[in-house]
Amino acid sequence: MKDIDGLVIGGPRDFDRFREDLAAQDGVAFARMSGGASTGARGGSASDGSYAALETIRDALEEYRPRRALVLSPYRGMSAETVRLMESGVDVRTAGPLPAGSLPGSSRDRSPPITEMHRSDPGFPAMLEASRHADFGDPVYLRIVSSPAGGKWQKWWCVFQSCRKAAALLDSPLRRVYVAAAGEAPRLHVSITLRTVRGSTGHLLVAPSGSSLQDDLFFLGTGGTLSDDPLLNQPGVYGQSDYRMLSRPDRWRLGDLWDEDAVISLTSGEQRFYQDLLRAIGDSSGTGSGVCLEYPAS
Amino acid sequence: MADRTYGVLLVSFSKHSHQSSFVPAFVEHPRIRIVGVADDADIDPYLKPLNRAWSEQLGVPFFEGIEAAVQRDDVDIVSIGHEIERRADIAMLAAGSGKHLWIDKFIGADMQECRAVVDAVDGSGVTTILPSYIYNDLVNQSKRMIDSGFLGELTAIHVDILFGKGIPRPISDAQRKPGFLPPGRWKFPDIKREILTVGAYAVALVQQCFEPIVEVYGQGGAYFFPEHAAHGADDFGTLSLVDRSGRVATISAGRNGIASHGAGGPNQAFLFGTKGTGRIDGKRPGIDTHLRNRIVDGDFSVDEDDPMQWHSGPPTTLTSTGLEFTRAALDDLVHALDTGARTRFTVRDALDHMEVLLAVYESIVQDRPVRLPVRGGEAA
Repeated sequence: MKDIDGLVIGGPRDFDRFREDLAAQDGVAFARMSGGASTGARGGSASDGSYAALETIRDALEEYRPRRALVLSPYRGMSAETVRLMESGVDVRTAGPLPAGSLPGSSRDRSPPITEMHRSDPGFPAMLEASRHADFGDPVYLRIVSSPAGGKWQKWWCVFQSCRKAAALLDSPLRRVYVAAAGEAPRLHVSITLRTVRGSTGHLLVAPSGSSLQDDLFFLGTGGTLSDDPLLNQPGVYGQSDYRMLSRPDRWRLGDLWDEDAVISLTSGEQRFYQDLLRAIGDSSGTGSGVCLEYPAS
Repeated sequence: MADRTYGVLLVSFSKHSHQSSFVPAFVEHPRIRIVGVADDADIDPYLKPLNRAWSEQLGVPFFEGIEAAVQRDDVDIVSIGHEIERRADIAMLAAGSGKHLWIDKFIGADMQECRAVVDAVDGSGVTTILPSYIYNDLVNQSKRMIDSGFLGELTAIHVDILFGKGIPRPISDAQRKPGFLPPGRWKFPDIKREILTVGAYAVALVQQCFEPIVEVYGQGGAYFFPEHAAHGADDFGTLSLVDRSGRVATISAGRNGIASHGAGGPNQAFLFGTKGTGRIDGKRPGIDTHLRNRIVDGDFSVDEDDPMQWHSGPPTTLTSTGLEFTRAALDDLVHALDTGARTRFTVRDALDHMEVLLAVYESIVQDRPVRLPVRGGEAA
């Protein structure tokens, strides 16, 4: 049996993001989510079969008995599994909140700690530093477009992560969001229009498709603009009849997600807000009308 | 028989309009002939010499008094570049005289005026066009992408359009007028309402791709310019629009200052479909132009007579090689006049367009989403 200390659970996109980091680490294994192998970045793990070849969560848990586990994308059965792991002494972290009511009755107050995904993105500190420079001025508007594979829960976690990233970049807590969703999972589009306490605004957009589109970001300050454009920042290949974007040679760092600094604690009001946000996504896509949610004051 | 030529009367060169930027297309088009410049007798002092200078430059007569000028036999088309508050009256006058209408951006200042123009045009037999919105590359490329089928079913759109013009300065609390100025007052000597001015392009793109808009949520204010803050008006805004079938559009739009973007401001759209996500830069195709002397010696100063750069722009590092939209619009108008076809953006489209924009302003004032249709100038 390999000596595995940490188990990472995620989808093909997560695997692509951390692939290089994983290869450099002993003692960490990646397990695939059930039913999640069919959607991934073209030219990435889904097309070369490496993701599908990974062990399932169940197999990995039986084989390795890890001391810690990190859930990067939500999946069916996640809550119950998380509880089992925590009860068996595994240090579990998730990259988003668990859906309300998904924890067994006796475990409702035992949600695992949440870790902020953008902490592991090597581009984030550079963007943060540039935006905090005096030349950028005050933050005015932030637009992030992402396209996670998967259904409503995956879109929800993506929105959660974008909200956290937006609050960090805009340097202000959120005050209000307007949630508008269109289509049906897995082809669901979610748009979040936000305003912060400081009066800056943003759009956090979760695309129904286009898995190569990873966090296209436009950031407007009173002193100018910053942008992170995947089209420019990802290598590509002119094929016989089309252009293929390859996976960005990301060096996302798993170690940063284990770091205590990455762990956040949501107030009960914030927990309710994100559960309401999940409900609002479903309500909006069902009714064709947007939903306003107030972010709880800290 | 040779194709006939259509005579155009240019009504006003208001600094709030794009009349001057239409002129090259009018001059160059083989089927168009400028026959005169006209304006009211009672106009802003700066405008009289400007109108006369244009008539002299073009070698055509200047007519003081729009009504008589419009009725001249050599006038087939009236190009309306007056203040937004005067456009409806002039449009109704021209339509009543059987003259076709080329109108800059807005047909009226409120829903009542816009409806009156549509009513006047209905049954008059005149052809109408608003050339500024949908003949450009952003719209053309977006429609082409949607029609290609690559996206599958269109689910959502996002548009970023910013004008990198003017020189922002810090805004103190003392300079800021409390509250947000309601819709209806558009004309100021020093500012334009930028959601109306810039956001209008993005709303028109959404209209071209979506069913009628039924819900609007807007946020806006003064972020860049003390001039806007002093009026409690918008230099930037974010819009969210939902159409009848539940599709969602989001927009960022405004004027954010020179040298903030290599191409003078983003002009781009994301088209979200069930099979793919499209991304279009409306300023491309273009040539990236990094010429040392132009950059090192670049003149980013702003003309004191045009501080918001309504009629000028800063140096950029992208030379767009795309379509010149005014010529395309003019071709569409001439084709419509020859054949009786409908142009691609008529006064009826402009009515729906204004309704969405007014609803955005109402949403900002009321600080909540509003539902359309707008009734009596106010969103429901």
